[in-house]
Amino acid sequence: MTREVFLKDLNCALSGLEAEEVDSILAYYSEMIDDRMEAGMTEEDAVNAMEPVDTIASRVLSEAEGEKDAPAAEQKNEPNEAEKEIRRPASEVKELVISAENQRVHLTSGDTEEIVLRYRIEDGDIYQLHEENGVLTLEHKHRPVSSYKLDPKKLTADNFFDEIGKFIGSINLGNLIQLGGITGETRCIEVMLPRIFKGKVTVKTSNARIMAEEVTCLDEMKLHTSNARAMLSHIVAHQLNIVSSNARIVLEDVYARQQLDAVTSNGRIVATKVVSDNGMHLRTSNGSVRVEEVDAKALAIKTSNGSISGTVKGRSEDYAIRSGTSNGKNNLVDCAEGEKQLVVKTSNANIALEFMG
Amino acid sequence: MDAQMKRGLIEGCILKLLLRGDSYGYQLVRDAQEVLTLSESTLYPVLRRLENQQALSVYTMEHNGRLRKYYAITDVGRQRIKEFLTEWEAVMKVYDFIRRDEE
Repeated sequence: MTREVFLKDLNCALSGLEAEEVDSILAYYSEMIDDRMEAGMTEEDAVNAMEPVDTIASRVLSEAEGEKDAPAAEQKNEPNEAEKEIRRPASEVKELVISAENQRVHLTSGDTEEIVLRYRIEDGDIYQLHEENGVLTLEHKHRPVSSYKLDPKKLTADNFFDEIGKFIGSINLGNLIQLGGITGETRCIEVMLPRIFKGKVTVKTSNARIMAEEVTCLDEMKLHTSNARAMLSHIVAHQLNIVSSNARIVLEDVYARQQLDAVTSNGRIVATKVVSDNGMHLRTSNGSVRVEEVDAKALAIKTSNGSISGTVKGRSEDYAIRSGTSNGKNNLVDCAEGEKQLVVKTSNANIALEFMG
Repeated sequence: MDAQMKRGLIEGCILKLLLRGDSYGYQLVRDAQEVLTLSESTLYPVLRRLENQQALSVYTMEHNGRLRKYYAITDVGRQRIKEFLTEWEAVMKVYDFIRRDEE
């Protein structure tokens, strides 16, 4: 193959890159061939000493892709390898999925046309970014804190100290510190959306909070975590599904057009100025529910061993009411007829709801 | 070897070679052979990255009737070499630790 043919093939294989970049690469390889010829090689040998055009092209193109993901790190004066920033035009994203482990997720909005994801990469983290059919997914996993899987169900009086000892002995100190278990520093994936986001938002994490404020989502928002709070303020969504466990859910100024579900266990729910045009379901166990100025066409508040109190918009006549508790006082009067529905159930605690009018 | 790690090692080698003196593409490929295997297509993105980070500067000179691109180290590049050595002290500590008593 001659030098001309090699460079021509390479030029073709690199089409799609900016002209400046292509010129730079062609000059680079042209120089490599020239220098080899100067060192005594024939033109054919010098060209053969190069890698195949396909190999060169695929390396260049995959480097270009890699660059796209970390522009912020390259352009700042002090590149911080551990912090990544991903930007995508919001118009291209029909659904945003964030899936994390033991890491908080914080959603906000800004005057931007882009979705911006910011996160730190630390020892033991694995992040994967997928983009397919308009679904943008950021998946985060990290290595377990300990290599010994402790099964609490298998603990007995006899093996207790042995098992705990094995577990503690196998703890990876680095990962434990990273979890915030020792220093208290908690990591967070930051998600910034445009003021009005037209797509779906799904956030799943574990053992870490989900916080969201000032987000308007014209589709469904699903926020799931475990063993940690979910805290939302100034949110508008078509549908809102919030799930946690062993922790509280706090909602302030939240509006759902179609449906709002907030479900947790062993933690309280606090809902202030929370409105749904259709259904609202606030459910927990072993925790109180406190509502202020809530309003829904079909409102259901259920818990156990916790009081239900606060204020509901409208008059009691507007609602068909079904309520009940055990071992507690209930100030509501059940009623079979009403435009809207209100279901309030708990046990071993009081129900005290006032209608604001 | 891990791709990112390899890239870091190549960056370090290239900067060290430039510390000895300005150089050009083909010479860097040849000189790097004493330490690691390096192909043209692996070297190119490293040079670009170092240029973007201002760790090296580029100039063109005429050589035998054609133009050749030369690379020179910068203060940023010198600093990078220092940082590389410091980072890898920690790696060497772990290496020594793992290696100890293994003979």
